[in-house]
Amino acid sequence: MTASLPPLTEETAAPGTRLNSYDRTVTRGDIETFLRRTGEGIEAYLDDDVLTVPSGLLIGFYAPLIHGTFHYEAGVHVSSDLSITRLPLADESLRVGGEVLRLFEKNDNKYVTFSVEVDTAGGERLARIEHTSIYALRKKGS
Amino acid sequence: MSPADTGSALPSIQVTALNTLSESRGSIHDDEKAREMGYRGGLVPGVTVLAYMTRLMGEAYGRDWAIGGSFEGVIRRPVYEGDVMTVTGEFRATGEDGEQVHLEVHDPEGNVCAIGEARTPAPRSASGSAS
Repeated sequence: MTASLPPLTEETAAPGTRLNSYDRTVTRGDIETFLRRTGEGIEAYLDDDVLTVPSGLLIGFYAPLIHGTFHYEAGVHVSSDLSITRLPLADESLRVGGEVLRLFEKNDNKYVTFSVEVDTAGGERLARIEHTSIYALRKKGS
Repeated sequence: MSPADTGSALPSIQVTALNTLSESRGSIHDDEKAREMGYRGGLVPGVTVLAYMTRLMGEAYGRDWAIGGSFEGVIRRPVYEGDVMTVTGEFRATGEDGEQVHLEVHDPEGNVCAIGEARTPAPRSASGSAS
């Protein structure tokens, strides 16, 4: 599917370019998978059987957004700046959108910074994340 | 340990790195592609490494630490599957804006692979009970 998407370049990803939004519902299984990666137990996120989405899981919401808009292979996630108004609940319907904020080059690598907005289906803003990734990575040592 | 003391440390944690995207052929997480690019192997996704630091904050301040606060994390060096990473936090300041914590993720050789700056919404105890 991604092969049919445009490559991420200065021409296709000018600042202000909207990213293809998507709907997301985080399930208990998603949370358990995430917690296995970080080595956490689920108890800390359970309160009277209500399961909260871990803040760290929200950082990963950027991937379907950028990879659902552009095609690039050797991307490297560099940084994330996360602000949360409310943590989503498991099984809550969410909408994830965002836009390209800037492109820049450093040490022969090409970077993209973009926003990620996490809203409820009803439009309540839950979180905003600013991500920077390398979209064109130079070969190490070159 | 009193987190109110600048420079005091939060309890560190250790995490065995898991490359959850190793099957992502042609990406930097794929062993073959990463070696072609000059790396030892597939890179553990940056989002996973940053989440090690949000875990530490959650254990120190409770799961709701980020509500009204903020977290900024930066990847500095590659993290590889199976490496046991040590995550540290150092209390920096308390103010009206909340508590500021400096976070680092170290690889087994002691290299700093990621750094982070977290801020809680308001001063609170780092006993783990403030959720």
